Amino acid sequence: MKKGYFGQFGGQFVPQTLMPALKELESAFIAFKKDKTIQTELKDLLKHYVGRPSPLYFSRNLSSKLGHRIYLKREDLNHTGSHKINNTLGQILLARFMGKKRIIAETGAGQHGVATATAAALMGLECIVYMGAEDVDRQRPNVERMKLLGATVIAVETGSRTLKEAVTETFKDWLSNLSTTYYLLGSAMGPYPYPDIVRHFQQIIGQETRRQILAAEKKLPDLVLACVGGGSNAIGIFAPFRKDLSVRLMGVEAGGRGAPLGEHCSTLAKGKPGIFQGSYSYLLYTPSGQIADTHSISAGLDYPGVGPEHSWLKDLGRAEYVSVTDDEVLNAFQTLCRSEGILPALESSHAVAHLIKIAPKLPPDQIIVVNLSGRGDKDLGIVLAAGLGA
Amino acid sequence: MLLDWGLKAMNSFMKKNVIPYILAGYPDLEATEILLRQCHALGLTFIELGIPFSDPSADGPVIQAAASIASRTFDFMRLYQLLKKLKNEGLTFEFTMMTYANPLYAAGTEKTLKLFSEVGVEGLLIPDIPFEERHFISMLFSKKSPVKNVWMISENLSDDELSVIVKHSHYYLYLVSYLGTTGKSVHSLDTLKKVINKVKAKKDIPVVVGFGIRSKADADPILEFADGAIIGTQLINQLNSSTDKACLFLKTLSGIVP
Repeated sequence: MKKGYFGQFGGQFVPQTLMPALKELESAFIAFKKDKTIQTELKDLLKHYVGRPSPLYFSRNLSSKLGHRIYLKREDLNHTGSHKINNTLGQILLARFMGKKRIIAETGAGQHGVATATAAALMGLECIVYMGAEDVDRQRPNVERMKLLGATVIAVETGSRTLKEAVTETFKDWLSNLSTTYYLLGSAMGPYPYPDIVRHFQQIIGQETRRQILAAEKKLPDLVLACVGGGSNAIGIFAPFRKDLSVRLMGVEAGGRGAPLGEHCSTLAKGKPGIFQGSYSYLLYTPSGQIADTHSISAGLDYPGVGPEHSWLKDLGRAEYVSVTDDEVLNAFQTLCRSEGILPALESSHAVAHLIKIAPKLPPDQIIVVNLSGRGDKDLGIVLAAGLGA
Repeated sequence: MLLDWGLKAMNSFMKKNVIPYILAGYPDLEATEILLRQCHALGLTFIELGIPFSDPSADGPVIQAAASIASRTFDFMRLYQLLKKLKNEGLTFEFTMMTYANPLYAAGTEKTLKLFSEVGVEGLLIPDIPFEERHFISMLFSKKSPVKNVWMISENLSDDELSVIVKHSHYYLYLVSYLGTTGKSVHSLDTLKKVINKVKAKKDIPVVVGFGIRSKADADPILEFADGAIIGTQLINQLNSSTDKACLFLKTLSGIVP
């Protein structure tokens, strides 16, 4: 496979002026992985600061309700409340290794922004987070958390005022401040080497899951489910199972309000390959090649693109990509609250929603792992407004 | 110095000239037509023809806002019809089409370029495809295509990187005047001169400078050592006031009025 590519997907579709920075990042990342002292520091942080390994919880009530053996990978129990911290701690050490003093990041739901602000606070580095103005409104608690952690949050007012504009603005900031600044990208997307870097730091989810399920069940799972926006939690749990062909991998995208373009974020299920924000990957765009508007109840999945490795896994047929609607997601959110006493992020609720949907059609007693990528405290405003909890 | 038989006689249109960047369809195609006619009347016939894109990652706020508006209604065929009409009237231009990758990819690169080559498009500049991804461009259109690719260069490229880009360039090079997005004004003449001297030592190929050039006064010192200076953001600013203002601004660029 060509460097930086997954099959035909991936690459580095960025302005020429950014290329030296991507090359610098690539070689630093190679040296970083070989540096034993830093690797020990990262392991230590993941254990004592994040609380890893995260539990693989046998979901007793959901299991009996749906007739399978269902496990939840509890990334919601990580420090800062989602899987994002795995990546931000790894990358903040990489940034320090490279001598960069200024950290910039995009965020959708604010989970990556909070995790970046946290890591930057820990390392004493300046942190600027770009966030779509609409997301600033709908994920207000995370905005306040980032500010408390010392980060500057810049509300992006262009276009649809969501994640894609936040990504564009972060790239532009980087383009203007290459020598001082590290772009801490939050998902397994963008130009090479980001999809590799993010997968590298997130695959701990799948590595732990593999060990934990073998200890609990003495066999591999039949099915692994994860939600997909850019795709970092999904690639994190999929990667260590990729070669275990008996394990079915399913990515669940945001189906939003329905099928028309503009109403959903089902990039892999409904999009076509295209070039956007650094890579050649599946993409939602209009017949004239303009990037489509998107909608999802969850800000973290509200994005028209997807990481290139997922595009590759889709075309290989190794992973399946499906979508669920906002309503199905709210139902799953409530189900998990009531049946397990777990309040999941709306993003993660997508994976649960699809499980609820397909459970009756699966052979009985399947061993299923759902990546519960984050907790839902940030979503209270949205779910209450949608009429839940009344 | 290497001779490159592929270079034209240094195309007289571009030589030592201000090059307007015209964003097609902004605010509408009628305005584009008026600007093109004005350019032709003023002898500004080497044009960077911008194709609007919803999410332009190399552009500053002014072009971004304009492109976002124009992208909602932009249609390659309508632009082609306009250029064909002008050509039929005898208004000839030498265009470089400047487009982000996805609109061109969606329209079908090979057939779109073939069509536009009939109406004066000779160069193609894709700001989100760097030289390192050139294999992707060769996948999109064949070497026999009448349209030549233009690579962007900048001060932060190593000498090796610069050498290989120059070697593979057969039309002209686009020097980005500073590291950042369009529409700021922060270039250093010394730096630009240094990069251009490096290029010219490798090959006698035209180099045009873009980003952050706002006026004829900005362009003149650059044109002392560069082969062209592109003005984009400031033309859009004028267009945001009125088409008349933009036409008057083009006059100042041509040197007809100060």
